[in-house]
Amino acid sequence: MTGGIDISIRPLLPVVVLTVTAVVVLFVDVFSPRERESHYGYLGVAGIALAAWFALGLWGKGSLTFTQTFITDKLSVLTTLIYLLIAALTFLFSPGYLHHEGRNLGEYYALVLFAVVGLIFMTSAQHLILFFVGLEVLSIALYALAGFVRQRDLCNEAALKYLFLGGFSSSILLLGLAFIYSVTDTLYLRGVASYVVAHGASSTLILGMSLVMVGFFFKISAAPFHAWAPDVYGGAPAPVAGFMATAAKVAVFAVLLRFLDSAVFPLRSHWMAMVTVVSVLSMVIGNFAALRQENIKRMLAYSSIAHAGYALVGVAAASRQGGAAVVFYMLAYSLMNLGAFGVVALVGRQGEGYVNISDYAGLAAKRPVLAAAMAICLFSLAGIPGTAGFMGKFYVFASGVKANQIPLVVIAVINSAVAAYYYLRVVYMMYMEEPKEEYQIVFHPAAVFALLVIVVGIFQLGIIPGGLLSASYSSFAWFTF
Amino acid sequence: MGGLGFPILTVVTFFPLVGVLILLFVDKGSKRVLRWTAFVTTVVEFLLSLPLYFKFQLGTHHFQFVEKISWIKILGSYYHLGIDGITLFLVLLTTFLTMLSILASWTIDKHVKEYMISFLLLETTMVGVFCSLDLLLFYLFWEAMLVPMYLLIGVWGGPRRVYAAIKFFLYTMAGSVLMLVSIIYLYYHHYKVAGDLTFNLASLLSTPVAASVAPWLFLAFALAFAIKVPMWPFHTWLPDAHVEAPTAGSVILAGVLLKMGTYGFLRFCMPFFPTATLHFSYLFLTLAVISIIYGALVAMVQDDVKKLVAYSSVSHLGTVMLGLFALNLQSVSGGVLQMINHGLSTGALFLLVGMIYDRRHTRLIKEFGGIAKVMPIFATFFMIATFSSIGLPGLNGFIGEFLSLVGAFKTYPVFAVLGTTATVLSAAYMLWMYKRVFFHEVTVEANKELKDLSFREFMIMLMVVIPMFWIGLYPKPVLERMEPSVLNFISQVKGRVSAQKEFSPQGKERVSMAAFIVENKELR
Repeated sequence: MTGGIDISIRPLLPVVVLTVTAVVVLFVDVFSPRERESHYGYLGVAGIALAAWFALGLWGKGSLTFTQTFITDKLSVLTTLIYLLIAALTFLFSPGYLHHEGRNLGEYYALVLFAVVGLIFMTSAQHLILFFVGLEVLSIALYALAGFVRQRDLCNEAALKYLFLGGFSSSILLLGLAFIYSVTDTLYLRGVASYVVAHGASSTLILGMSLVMVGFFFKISAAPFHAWAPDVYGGAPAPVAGFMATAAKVAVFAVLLRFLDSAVFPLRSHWMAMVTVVSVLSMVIGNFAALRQENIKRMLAYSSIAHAGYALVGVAAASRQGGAAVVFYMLAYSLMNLGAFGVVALVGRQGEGYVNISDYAGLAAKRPVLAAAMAICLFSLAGIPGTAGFMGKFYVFASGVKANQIPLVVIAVINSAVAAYYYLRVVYMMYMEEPKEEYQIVFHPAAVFALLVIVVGIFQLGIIPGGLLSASYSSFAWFTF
Repeated sequence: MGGLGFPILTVVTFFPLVGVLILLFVDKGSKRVLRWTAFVTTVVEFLLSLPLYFKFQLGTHHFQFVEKISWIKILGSYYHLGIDGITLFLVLLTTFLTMLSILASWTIDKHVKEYMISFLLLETTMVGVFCSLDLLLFYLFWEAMLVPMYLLIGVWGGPRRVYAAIKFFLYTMAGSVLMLVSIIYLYYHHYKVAGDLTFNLASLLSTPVAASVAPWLFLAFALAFAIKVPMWPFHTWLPDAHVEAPTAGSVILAGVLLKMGTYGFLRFCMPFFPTATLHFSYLFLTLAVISIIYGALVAMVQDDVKKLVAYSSVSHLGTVMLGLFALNLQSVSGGVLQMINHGLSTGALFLLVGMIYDRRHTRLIKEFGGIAKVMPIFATFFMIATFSSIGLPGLNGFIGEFLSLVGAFKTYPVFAVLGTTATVLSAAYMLWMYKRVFFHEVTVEANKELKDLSFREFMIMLMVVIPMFWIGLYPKPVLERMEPSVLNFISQVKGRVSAQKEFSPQGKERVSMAAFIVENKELR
């Protein structure tokens, strides 16, 4: 099968396929009549499937190519598969939504595919400049996506806010990289680590590291760098918000783990404290702010801040198991969050006029299947056993206990009990209130299929998580953690 | 051991899901079909659980009908089920009460399909809790149980149902999450000491915990279970949940869910941390006695029958806790028996309260009076349930209460004497309530036309009353099945603390137990 393909090109095949698919979508968009619009999603899904097939072929065949800047290890393959899953689910949710908004255009799908390309480069980068390029590819695609429904004011506001704060955080990150470079003379992750081992830590290096981490914390919307998230998630189109809240977070967590492990592991006494503080702040601020939200998108935004906090418990463990737990958690989180945003997109209807929690009153009586899917996602977010959310939390907290971070874990579990309240509020609205209206929801078969995939995934990860737990564990085999 | 050639515990645990699957495909409009499907499922489920009793091997404390399959390999977690003489009866109680609860839910008219599905899901999780021998599996069932119960209270409950449902959920969850941390700690502690990752109950029990952390772990477990029991001062969710829950929900809540708290103490909390148990025993005995007296006194001043029964649960479960912490054969046997008895008697009372509520849509005592004249059969059953609850000799309540108090007297006379007030107080509030509801003249006009029990209701009550008399008159089959497990429990707690303190499970205590049963028969 390899034929003429150079061994060093092979790791890039998923990226190549995605890029080609994106370009094809753009071309088809230009040359096809308007009424064929809704098929871009399926074209995209086909490209994603092909890319996933190539990515699967890379599992277990580690390589380090392009002058040692691009690594293909199990972590990058596993996260690539997660991005592809997220993108595919987003494509299934989007056509119906965009059709109602009159914005079912080829460039939407192309932008998502380009974003995935950026994500893959980020996680595969062994050199911080390559990482930064990947991050910018992602960010620029996301700025455009956040404002994609341009006739809506909130949407434009979200895009602009995201652009400013994203640019701001990118420059902080870049400043940190500059500091690191000024000390170590290299931006290879391993190079930084070798320098630290040889020469010890200097204050400039620690400053650089901290700035880079602040940049990461911005991107994963961890408190106190979270302020943009509710506005952006609240304003962006629901499927885009779901994509942003999941894909970008998975990638930045993977990169954070890579950075902390490969580059600055010797400095862990410095960064562990920082991660712990940010974790506690994210959980507390995210959960308590979510309690007061009336808009379900904002509630999910605050909940995603809290979830970043839970996942950071695994990072703070600074262990192989902690890393594996974070990756598994991110997969679980992506599924349930995409499901929740998918339902929000359906219930919101044209112009997202119905995005308050009170708009869900009696949904179970009128749309039992939709309500059940939402309830399963919410119970999973709340961490009820039997769902993906529980196994994710369990594994993260277990890694924390193992690393003797018991106070942090106790704070985390108490927080997850608090969080149950606001998830239950939506369940209560759906199941225990009388319906106020008829729910003129137009079901798109693709969206229903996506919800089905998500629900099955949530139960699979919650009841028989063995295979994926092992996969995430093995993806940290090369780490020093 | 004791295998039947097929995985009976898996079947008993998951059979209700078959019913759920069928219900999913039944049209939501055909309520009769929905009800009958659910009922037949629970009847079959009950029949399936009966072989557990008949094939149960006597004279051993080892777990029986054990099934063990690797579940999550990387975590060392097993799908590991098994029952002993204690959980045998809790499983039977669960399947029995669920069957009656479905029958008592015939009057549910709103969202019948979802109701029956929730109930069957609840049954699976309850049986799962009692059968799990793997701590992760146990926790999974333990927490998953909250969801169907939350829905049952919140959707089909009374006027303040939403508040009650959320309170129930959050209280229980807040308690359990700390237990989860404790479980994980034990898991890694065992790994450090013994070198293998496992959630197996027996393996974790075999690794003692350092004295410096044991109290904390004990308290984390104890909090989860004390909320569930509920012990004073963690009881405040109970009156709300009970009063607002639909009748069948109350029956299951009182009959089975509360037992999970005491069961948790018995199976996990106390055997895991024997030193901490003895260290904190005065605290828990005090809380138990406070629960007994407080529950009874508050029950006495209730004007709502259902609330009265709810508070009486706090009192009765206090007796169970007293028996467990007194740690001798009689007290613990009594405590365990009292768990079953309370399930039957309080279950019966809630069923009866539900029946009268269906007729009159009120539960206030002052709305009644002279009911015995218009509903003689109802009054008779209510009388039996009342006597069972207050522990009249000849009925089940007596044996459990008496054994636990007598046992407690041997080790902690002061607490036992204080606990004994429960018998007086419970007679007071139950009989006083009975008098006000059933005797005298019919004063309220609406009560004059009340119909007596229907055939369905009569059958429900007949079925509850049979085991009441059975345990009351001939408790030996129950006691002899639970005795080895109870002795094992005591030796787990006491034996590990002081090996030098003589303890002979087959010796003196056993004789005195047999003598006691004889004595007990004479008393009757």
